[in-house]
Amino acid sequence: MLDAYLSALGYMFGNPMTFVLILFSLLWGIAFGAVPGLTGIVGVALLIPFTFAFDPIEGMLLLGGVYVGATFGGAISAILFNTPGSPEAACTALDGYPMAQKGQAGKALGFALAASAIGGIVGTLALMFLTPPLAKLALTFGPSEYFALAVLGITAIASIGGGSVLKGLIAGLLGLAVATVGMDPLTGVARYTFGNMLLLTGIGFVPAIIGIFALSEVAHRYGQGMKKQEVITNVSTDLPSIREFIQTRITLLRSSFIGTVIGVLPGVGATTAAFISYSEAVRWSRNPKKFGTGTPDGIAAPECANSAAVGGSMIPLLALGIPGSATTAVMIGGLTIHGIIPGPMLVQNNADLVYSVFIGMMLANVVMLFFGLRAARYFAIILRVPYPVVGAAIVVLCVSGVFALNNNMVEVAVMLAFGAVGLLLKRVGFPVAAFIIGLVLGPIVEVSLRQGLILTDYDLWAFASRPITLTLLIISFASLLYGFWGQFRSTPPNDPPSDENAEPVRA
Amino acid sequence: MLNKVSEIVVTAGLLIGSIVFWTIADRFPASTRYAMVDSDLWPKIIFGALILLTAAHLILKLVELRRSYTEEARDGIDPGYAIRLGLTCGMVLFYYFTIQILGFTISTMIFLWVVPFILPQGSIKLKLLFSPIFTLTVGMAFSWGLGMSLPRGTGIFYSFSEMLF
Repeated sequence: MLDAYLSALGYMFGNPMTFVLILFSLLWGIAFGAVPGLTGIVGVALLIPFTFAFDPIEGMLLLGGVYVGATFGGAISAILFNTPGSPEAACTALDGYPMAQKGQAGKALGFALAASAIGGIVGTLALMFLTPPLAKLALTFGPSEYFALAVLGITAIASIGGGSVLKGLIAGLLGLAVATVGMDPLTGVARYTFGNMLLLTGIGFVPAIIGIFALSEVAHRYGQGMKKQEVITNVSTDLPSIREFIQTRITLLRSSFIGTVIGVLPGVGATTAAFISYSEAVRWSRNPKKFGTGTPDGIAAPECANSAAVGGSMIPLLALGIPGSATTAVMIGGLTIHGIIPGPMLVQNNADLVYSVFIGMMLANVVMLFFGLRAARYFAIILRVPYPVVGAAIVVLCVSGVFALNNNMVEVAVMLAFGAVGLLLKRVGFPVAAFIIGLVLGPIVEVSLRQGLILTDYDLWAFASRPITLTLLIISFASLLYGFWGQFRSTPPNDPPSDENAEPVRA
Repeated sequence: MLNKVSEIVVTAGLLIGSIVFWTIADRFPASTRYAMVDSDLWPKIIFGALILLTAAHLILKLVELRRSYTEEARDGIDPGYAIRLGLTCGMVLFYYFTIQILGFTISTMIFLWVVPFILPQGSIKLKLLFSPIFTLTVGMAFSWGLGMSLPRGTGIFYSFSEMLF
């Protein structure tokens, strides 16, 4: 393992471009996280075609840096705008905005930044220490274990993320259904191609994710129009003192743990981690009434957890090939365009890439802390960029990026079609994140099921009763029951999707 | 109310679509070697589950609609939303078709000059200046920085694009 780290360090220090890419990706991520409606997923999705111009390590560093930056970026608009730039920062607004209203916006940003960096570093340490042994363990996994893991990914995002479980399941199944288009991996039969040769290779993953996340979001935001909101742009440089920060240490420890564990769960990511962490911070607080009035713990808890979840969600991606969150599902697109298949063999065969990602993400968190502390007051400028210009620019990047992948306008048409699908899903409140997880996991879950059945001589019980498989399937079933129970216990029977936020809170 | 109706229409569409795709899967060519795990197995599982779930969701929504019909005031779709969304989608489609004929540079400039005016925010000067600056920056970044090609259009526009990037 040490050799792999030394080799990765040698690569990174021998190639200064990697540092430039990390800094650029952090800025890109912070900008996408900060501007409401752009989100980190859009930031990652838009950069995927550009990674084609770099080698796989540089490409992954670029995407990893965006993921890290965007997770913090959401806090900027949550604190200064009272509108979370991305869903994972929703809880940050609860205490961040009241603190900013008291004239302590700089302090609130400082708490968010430092908590993000600490959470991110803890999550990355977990990533560094857990990925190699998990990948080694995963080498013993058979098709039935992979099938159960994929099922867990879909049921977890449908049931734990909030919103309607039924809608989450339907969206996940729709993703799985779209993944069946193309040639059958076992028999070679063309499925749902309707005689179109271009569909034989299946639906292009990158055009689909860019269409469904980026394009549909821009169209939806343009449709909504813009509402005038009070932005606090006068950010003081009054950052939290070390003593003030140390007072939140228990919250930071607990939130780092919660974020990492939630991140590791397939399909569930930063948003869930932030919500659970915030509610736990309230529960364990000696003075819970302070929450919502601008308390540092209320900022540190969600920010630390959502950043810890970034590292956590990369663990199943790199070790098992199963995305830990919607953003890592999108990152699979970045790997596949370089011909790299994530999973246990990646750690064995592409150690340089995996260990460089570890080091790169650690560096990204450290750079974000020092760079962010100095630049905190300037982050407010991001919010002054008018969305009409930004949105149009995103459409141009979507079209040109997807075209440049294969010099093919058909893929642009696929992107437009999925943009329409994304718009429709958002409009009726079906979670697009569950759809994408289903689309990514579709080939894995199908091939695993069919190979597993062949290996067990079509004995379904023998397939499902292997210890790890059975455990994972029971957890999947339990998570569904938990989701249904939570939904019927807490929500009123009528929950019409609103125009403002039709999609429920997701990873 | 309209949200509920649109959700019901979409769910009903998904239910019908799932039934259609299930029957299509039933007609996939059969393989003797993989008879027990044939091409239709997985699609039938997925679309079968979709049929059950969408039917359940549809029933729930119909019950809710019936209950809320008397309780809630009628609402309608915001005409502003529909107009802005229609204009945006129309412009994206216009961009998709023109980029194939006019090439990246001209079509992008036109697109970036028109689309920002769908929303009133931002200064006119910025909106007018942004178009050529962003177009040329992206063009140079793709062609010279990343070595990736952009649509060049046809005929005279192809020659023009070739001259630029």
